[in-house]
Formats: sequence, C-alpha cells, structure tokens
Amino acid sequence: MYTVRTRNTTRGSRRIFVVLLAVLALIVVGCAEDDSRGSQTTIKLAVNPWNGSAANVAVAAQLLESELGYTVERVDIDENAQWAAINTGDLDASLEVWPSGHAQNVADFIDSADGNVDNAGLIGPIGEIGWFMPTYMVDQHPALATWEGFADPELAGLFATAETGDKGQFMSGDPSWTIYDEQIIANLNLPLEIVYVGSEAGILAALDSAYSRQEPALFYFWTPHSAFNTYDLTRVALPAYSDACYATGDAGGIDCDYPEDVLFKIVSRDLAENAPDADAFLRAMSYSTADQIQMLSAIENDGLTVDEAAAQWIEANPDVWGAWIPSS
Amino acid sequence: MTAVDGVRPGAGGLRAAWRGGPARFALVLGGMILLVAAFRILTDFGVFPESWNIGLADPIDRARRWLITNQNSHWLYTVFLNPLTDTMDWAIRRLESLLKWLPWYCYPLFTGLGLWWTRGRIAGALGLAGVTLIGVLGLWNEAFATLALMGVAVLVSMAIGIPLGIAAWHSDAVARITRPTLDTMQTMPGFVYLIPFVLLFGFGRVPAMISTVIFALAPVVRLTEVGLRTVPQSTVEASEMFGATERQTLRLVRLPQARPAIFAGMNQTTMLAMSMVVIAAFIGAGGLGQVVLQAMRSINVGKASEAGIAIVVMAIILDRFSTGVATADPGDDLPAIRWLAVVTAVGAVAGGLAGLNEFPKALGWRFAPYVNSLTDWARDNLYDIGGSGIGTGPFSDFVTTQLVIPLRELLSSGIPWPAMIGIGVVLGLWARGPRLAVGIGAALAAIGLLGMWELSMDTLAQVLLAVAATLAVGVPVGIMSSHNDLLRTALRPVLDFFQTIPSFVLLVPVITLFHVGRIPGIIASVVYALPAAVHYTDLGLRRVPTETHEAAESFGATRAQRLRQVEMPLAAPELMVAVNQVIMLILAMVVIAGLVGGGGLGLEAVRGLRRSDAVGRGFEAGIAIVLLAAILDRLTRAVADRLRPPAAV
Repeated sequence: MYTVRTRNTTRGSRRIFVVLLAVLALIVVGCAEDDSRGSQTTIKLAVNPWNGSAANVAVAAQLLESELGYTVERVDIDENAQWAAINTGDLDASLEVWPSGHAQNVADFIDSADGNVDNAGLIGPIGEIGWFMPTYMVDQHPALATWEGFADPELAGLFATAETGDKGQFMSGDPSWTIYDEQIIANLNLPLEIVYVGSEAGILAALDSAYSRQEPALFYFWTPHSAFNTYDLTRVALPAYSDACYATGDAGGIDCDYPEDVLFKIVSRDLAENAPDADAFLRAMSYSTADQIQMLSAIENDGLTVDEAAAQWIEANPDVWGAWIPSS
Repeated sequence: MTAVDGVRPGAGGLRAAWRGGPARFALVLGGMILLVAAFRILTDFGVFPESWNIGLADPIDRARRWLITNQNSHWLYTVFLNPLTDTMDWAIRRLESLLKWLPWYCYPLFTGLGLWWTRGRIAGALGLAGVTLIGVLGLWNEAFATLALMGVAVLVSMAIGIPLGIAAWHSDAVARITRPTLDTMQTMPGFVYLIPFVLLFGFGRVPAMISTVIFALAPVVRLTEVGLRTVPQSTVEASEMFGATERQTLRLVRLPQARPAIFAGMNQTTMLAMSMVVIAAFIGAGGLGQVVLQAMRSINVGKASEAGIAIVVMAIILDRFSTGVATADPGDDLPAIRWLAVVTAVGAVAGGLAGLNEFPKALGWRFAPYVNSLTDWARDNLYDIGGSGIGTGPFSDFVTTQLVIPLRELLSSGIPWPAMIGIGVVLGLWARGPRLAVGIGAALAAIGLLGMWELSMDTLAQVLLAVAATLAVGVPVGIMSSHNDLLRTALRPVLDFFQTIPSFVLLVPVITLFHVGRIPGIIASVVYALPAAVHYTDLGLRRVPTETHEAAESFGATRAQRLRQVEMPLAAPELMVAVNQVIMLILAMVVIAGLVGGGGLGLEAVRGLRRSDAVGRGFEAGIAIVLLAAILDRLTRAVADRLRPPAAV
C-alpha cells in the first residue's frame, strides 16, 4: 500500500512539473510579446465617477493611441484617491480636477517639497457646484429662490419624504465628491436632511422621476451639465462665496455657496521623463465648455457611449486637438 | 457556498436546558422589559454620550497623512512595500497578458474538456456554452482581468493557507491563534477589509488582490488542518513502521490522505474570492467588477446583469470543476478527452502565434437592451399602479414611516444605551454563559466609545427588519420545498443563481423601483439572503428522521401538528444556523447599501474608503461593523448550540 501510494505521488508530481514547465514556457512567450521595460508606453489615466471626466479621458485616450502610439489604460478612481495614486506614479494623470474640494491635496502633493504631482494647466471648462431644483418649484413658491426660503419649515417641508420625516430632503450624490452641504445646512440652520443617492445617475434618475410628476426635488448638482438641456432647473441662491468662509471649512464653519471651479489637470512629475510626448500632449490639452457639453449631451441624451461621443468630437474638431500634438 | 458552516459541536448535557428553554426564555424576556422600564423611569439616558467618544479617527487620519506623504521616501515603502507591490502587480499583468495571448477558442474548448473530464458530457457541453457566452456578451477582456486577479489571489491563498493549516495541525499554540482569527475574518463583511489596505497599499490591483486573499484564506487553512487531523491513525502507524521520518509521513501519507479536504478548502476559497470580485473593484481591481460598478453608477440594469451573469458563469464553472477534480472518473471517455486536449493545446499555441486572441466581434449579442426596457417599464408602471396608491413607491414610503424609522428610533434613543448593553449581556448569559455575556457587553460599549452608537443602531434596525422579512418568506418556502422534491429541484438553480450573483447587481434594479433611502438596501438584502434561508430550512427539516414522522403519524398527528410539534423543534438548531447565515449575509449587504442611500455604518465606511479626509471615521465605522457582526454571529451560534439536543446515540 505504501509503495503504491509513493508511485502515484511521484507520477503525480512529475505531471504537475510538466504542466508548470509548459506554463512557464508560455509566460516567456507572453513576455516576448509585450516588453514593459524601457521607456513608458502605457499611459494610465484616472476616470472619476462623472461623465465629464470620462469624456475628457476618452478624447485623450483615443488621440494618445492613434496619434502618438501609446497604449492607454483607464482606471476608475475617486477624485480623492487619485492624488496618492498619481503621487506614487501608479497613475499618470487626471484631467478634470475641481479645485474647491482639494486645497489640502494641492498643498500636500503639488506645493509641498515631497509632492510628486504637477499642475498641468486648465482643461478649459469652468464649473459651478450648487443647490438646484426644478424651476416650477420657484414659480409656485418664489421665496424658494434664495436660501432664506428654505429656512421656513413649511416651505422646506414641501421637500419632505418618508425617509426624512418633517424635514426637507436634500439629495446628494456620491459620498466621495466635494460636498459641504452638511456644514451649510447646519450653519444656516435649515430644516433639511441629506440623503446620499450614490451617483450622478442616481440623482438624474430621482430628478427624472420627480420631474415627470412635477414633484419637489432639491439636490446637489453642477454646471456644465447636459441635464440643463432636458430639465428647466434653477439654482438656489446661497450666501455668496468668500475665501474667509471657506477658510473655516476644517472647523465645520462653511455657511456660503460653493466657489467657482476653474477645472485643471494634474500629472505625475515622472511622466515628463518616462513618456515626454504624452506629458506634452496632456499639458497642452484644453477645450471649451461647449466642446464638453456637446459630448455630454451625445452621451446622456442620444445614448452614445463615451468613446463614440469622443470619436465624433475628434472627427469634427481636428483644428482644436491638432494643437495638442507635440511636434517632434 | 458563502462560508463554511460555522457550526460548533453542541455543548452536550443541555437536555435540561433545552426542555426548560421556553420558560427560561420568557423569564429572560420579562427581565429585559423590566430593565428597560427601570432605566426609562430612573434615568435620562438615551443615545450614548458623544463626550465619551475616544476619538480613534484623528490618530488614524494623522497616520494616513504620514503614510501618503512618505510613500516615495520611507524605507518601509522603498525597501519593502513598493517592491512587493510591484512584483505582485507584475505577476498579475503577466498572467493577464498570457491569458490574452492564447487564442479565444481554446478557453471554451479547455473548459468543456475539463468539465467533461471531471463531471461528464453534459457538464462539458454547458461549460463550453458558458465560456462562449462571456465572449458573446463582449466581456472577454474584463473576464480575463478578473480571472488573472482571482488566479493570483487563489494561488497566494494556497501558498499561505496550506502551510498555515499544517502549522495549526502541528502545533496547538498556532491553532489557538489561527482559529479565532479565522473566525473573525469570516464574520467580517468584505467591504470592511478594504479600508486598512487602501491605507497601506493605496489603490490598484495589488491591494484588491491582498484583500481578496485575506477574505478567502480561512477555508483552505481550516480544511487543511481538519484534513490532517482526520487521517486514520492506522495509516500513520503503518508508515512509521516502515521507518518513515515524521516529514516523510507528512509528505507521503498524511498530505495525500488529506487531499480531498484540502481540495474542498480550495474550492471554498475560490468561491469566496469570486464573491469579492465586485467589492475589490472599489479599490481598483478592474475587470468584471468594474463593469458592475460602472453600470450601477449609470443605473444601467442591463449592463450590470450581463456582467453579473458573466461572474456567475465563471463562479459556477470554477466550483463544478474544483469540486469534481478530486473524484474525476471519465471512464470510457478518457481517451477521447486526452486526444482532444492535445489537439486543442496544439491549436492554442498555433492560434496564439497567429494572433487569433480577440473574441470575434461578429458573434456578439447583448441582452442588456431587453432588460433595460423591462426595468423602464417596471419603473413607469409599478411605481404607483394606475395612481391607486398601490405600488413600489407608496410601499416604500409605508415601510419607511411605519417600520424603519420607528424601529431605528426605538433602538437608538427609545431604549437607553445602558439598557441596550444590559439586554445584550442577558441574552449572552442565557445563550451560552458569562464569557459570551462579557464579550457582548464589551463589544457594545466599544461601539459606543467609538462614537458609532447611533449609526450602529440605524444599521441594526435595518438588519433586524430585513432578517424578519427574509425569514417570513424563506422559512415557509423552505418548509414547502422540504416536503416536495419537485419544488426543490425547480428552486435549486434559482437559489444557486441568487447566491452567486454579486450583491451589487441586485442593488441596481431595486434603486430604480423604490425611493432612494433605506428601502432599496433592505429589499436587495432580503433577496440576497433568501436562498440561504430556504436552503437551511429545507436541509434542517430533511434531517428529521423518517421514523419520527411515522411515529407522529401513528399517534394520529395531522400534517400541521406534525410540522409544528415534531419537525420544527427537531430542526430548530438547523433553523438557527439559517438565521445565523441570513443575518451575516444581510449585514454585509446593508453595509454595501450605504452606497445608495442606506445610511448608517455603511455610508461612513464607504465615505472612509473614498474620501481622503474621512478615512479615520470610516475606519471606526469598519470596527463597529465588525463588532456588530461578531455579536450577532456569536449570539445566534450560541442559541443554535443551545437548541441542539444532546447527541442521540
């Protein structure tokens, strides 16, 4: 019995050995196919969870691949997590940073001596975050045009749902976004409660559902966005933004509106050395708010994929992107 | 498939306790009500005082800031973590590019042959069809990214798990450490693992792989140890008689004998790893999980279900193959399989050299549009059917205002916190004894000290409601299925499907049908946990010996009497195991639902995972989730043991 088992085992191990050898051989073949050492040929771009970011990256990716011969890997990552990843070189760039939420990251990774991230210039569009509602709400209750209207429990109560009880429901999106609504609501003493819907699409779905029934809805949103073509939305006037007000953010003291966001790009400092053409391209890339809206509308209203929309834009605007291609 | 049945042997000698159970239970209940009433009258305790918060969040946030700013310079990173990360990343990428180098057709063929070899012709044909389906759905590249990551994760789990299992078998000291650690690891919702790994390793495939390993490690360690322990003494003695050294005996006798158990461990490890596919996508695993997450962000039910089905197909193939390997017996088909395997292998290398690696686009077909139009229809028509006030919208409001909010308020402020801890202690005392009681009391107090009391009670309220709903539906279905083989056969694939499908995929359609808030999460978790409730109820009732049925019938018991008075009490321990599994599944899901408006601990954990300024709080929430899970798990297991009658023999 003992000897039999030994023979079986050795035969078994020999077979395993052969299989391992075969696998190893195949790995060597696989390696020969794609040599990742030497100068960098794969560019890793961050895609943040909103369509604007995905559209920028799609344009950049298609051009980097077709015009400059790189391979592009798109990595879905949140706007906060991307900083550390770009700092270590795990990612190469992110193309749409909304500065209002990233003062600390800018200080840690761009301005500080240890930082390894560069500000790569503006992407073009200027963004505004704010509180929005369907315009029919203001038509019916003109006081809601400003935040003081929401201080009235009766008016705020219009937005109440089963989930929020007596208080009005304020829909927020992805908890990873730049959000100060908790501070604003607390400091302005508004009878509102935040419900996190989880995503841009979640807000849009809830808005669509409320809009079709002409029901109240109050939510976090931003421009530029193609939804403004479909829905008539009005921004709630919060107390005007000031630097002094935002300086109190760490202590939880924000009681004013979001600042205007001049969107910019960030790249890893290593990129200039490892892939100079890609670095030059990403730094030069910039287009208008209208360019981005055009793609977003194709995605959200015409049902195109992000890549189809980007390809359409590239096809129609060679003069815009032609200037981004480094002359070599 | 979710976890090893965590059933411990009955404590023995509990006959008296079991007989006196209901009376003592009533006493306990009465005591608790008195306790609550006393606190309510005598004190003004409500929510756990915020000033007692020990504030773990700040030091963690400071540590995190230190970590990220030193990532490029500190020796811990430059000498140790970064090379480790790079090597593993390299291995995963290599494996992925190798998998993609091989021509597409060799995958359905090899899978088909493998399943034919292990399970027979029909399984082989289904395997071939399943793999082709993944390609047809256009998820080929994503599937390989997932397969490569899972492959490396399973290999690493084995490389760590088998030696660890051997060590635990060899030394009681090691076993004393590994066993409780593995217990804890298995009760933690997978989501919680991610925070510390993001902290240490950042974002990408490697942290995703490592957290998968940690989540999936337990079964292979445990079953290696069990396998070695159950090797018959006589075999070992025989080998020693031949003069084999201890090492030789281990290598040549014990390990081969323990092989079936080790294979079973591998199988369960693989299945657990597959259940992490979507969760790991949160920190950059990519692949099929990422498709599901993207679909969830764009509320694309069709796309999510396509990717979900691809994951289910992959999991089922891996499961069937790995459970079959140990017992493979192809009989007369063996020569044919061998011959075909050689042909396929040659064809594979030839095709790889010829560059036939892309799945042909012409074979593409999507069912996403159909699913999407179905959900659109459901959203427009089921929300409030004909304006009658009946529909998913009003239902969601009703449950929120009548059940969720009152229960949450009762737990978080209605019952004063000291009374809540008191209830926990009394339950622990009743279920097992002083040790459990102290443990529960300490865990509850710790939740309060972390400043997570209110959020934990919010989560607990959702869990309790979902558990009640799951049992209300699952137990009756389980009873029916235990009496009806036809129903059971019909249910089985449905149950398998819902148990294997990643929980996120269930969330997507539910959020389109119900109001945002806590309801979608509760409903999705009920759907997710139902299979376990049905399965364990069925299993428990089927274990009741037929002689008992006959005896009951000979006494003239009706079917209902027999069920109520004979079968249910006898199956009670199994039913408690069902409750235990259901609670753990639901807790994991409710946490995930924090992502879509579920609030509670889940939202805090998600935020910690995704916002650099909230890591500390997320970490605290993670600990609270683990503590809550541990309390619920130990308590239900203790009750199951209590109900277990003393061994019949």
